[in-house]
Amino acid sequence: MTVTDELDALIEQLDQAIEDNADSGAADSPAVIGEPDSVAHSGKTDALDLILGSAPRRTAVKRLHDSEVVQQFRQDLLNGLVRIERLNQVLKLVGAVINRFLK
Amino acid sequence: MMGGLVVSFRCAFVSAAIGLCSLNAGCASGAYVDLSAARVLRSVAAEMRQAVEEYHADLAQSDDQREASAIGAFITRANEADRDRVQLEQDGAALSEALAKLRADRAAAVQRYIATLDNISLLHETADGLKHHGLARLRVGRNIQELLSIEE
Repeated sequence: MTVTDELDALIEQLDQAIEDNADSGAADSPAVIGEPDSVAHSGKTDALDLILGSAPRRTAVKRLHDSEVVQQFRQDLLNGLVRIERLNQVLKLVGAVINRFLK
Repeated sequence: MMGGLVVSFRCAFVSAAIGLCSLNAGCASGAYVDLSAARVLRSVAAEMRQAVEEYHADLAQSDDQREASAIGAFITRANEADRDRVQLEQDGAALSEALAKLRADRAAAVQRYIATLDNISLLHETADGLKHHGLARLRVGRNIQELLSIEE
């Protein structure tokens, strides 16, 4: 066996050892030698990630209290009630005139 | 000539009576439509309010669960960090940010809830308006009937 072959075999063994270590998922053994500790929750998505990654809640609902449509209805209702009241007054007046006329 | 005048007068009376009867019928049918529409609006408003209350309660409960899950996730992360100060600070910052986001989400839900309840109150206002309009038309009908009874 040449020196090159022996080095190749050694590198293969080291690679295998690294793969075995990553598969076991040991928390105190980083998956890659030399890298700093990765995220403590092992990169799995948790509730915090879900909340931080979600779109903010929005609403497009508007209050219509002072909207043009509602103001128009209020005005139309007022006009209608005024017209009806005037009609009532006219009818009462006509009734009073007819009563006097017949008497 | 007198006979002609009497006939003209009678025709005028009959025409007026027919006109008043038509007006009475129109007022009455329109009034009942107004009153029925008012009842429908009130019923719809009540059911809509019930639906909104239920939805808001469900949403608040869901937000409570999200908050509890966030706190639980932080505790898990803190345990995994195992006194790693840098990691703990990062996880603490993540929790703060998540809680702030949840508060903003709740505020949006409350804004939507209040605006919807306000709009539902407009249904009640419209119903009251139609009711007043309908009752006013009924009063016109009663006055017309009184007038017609005088003419008879």
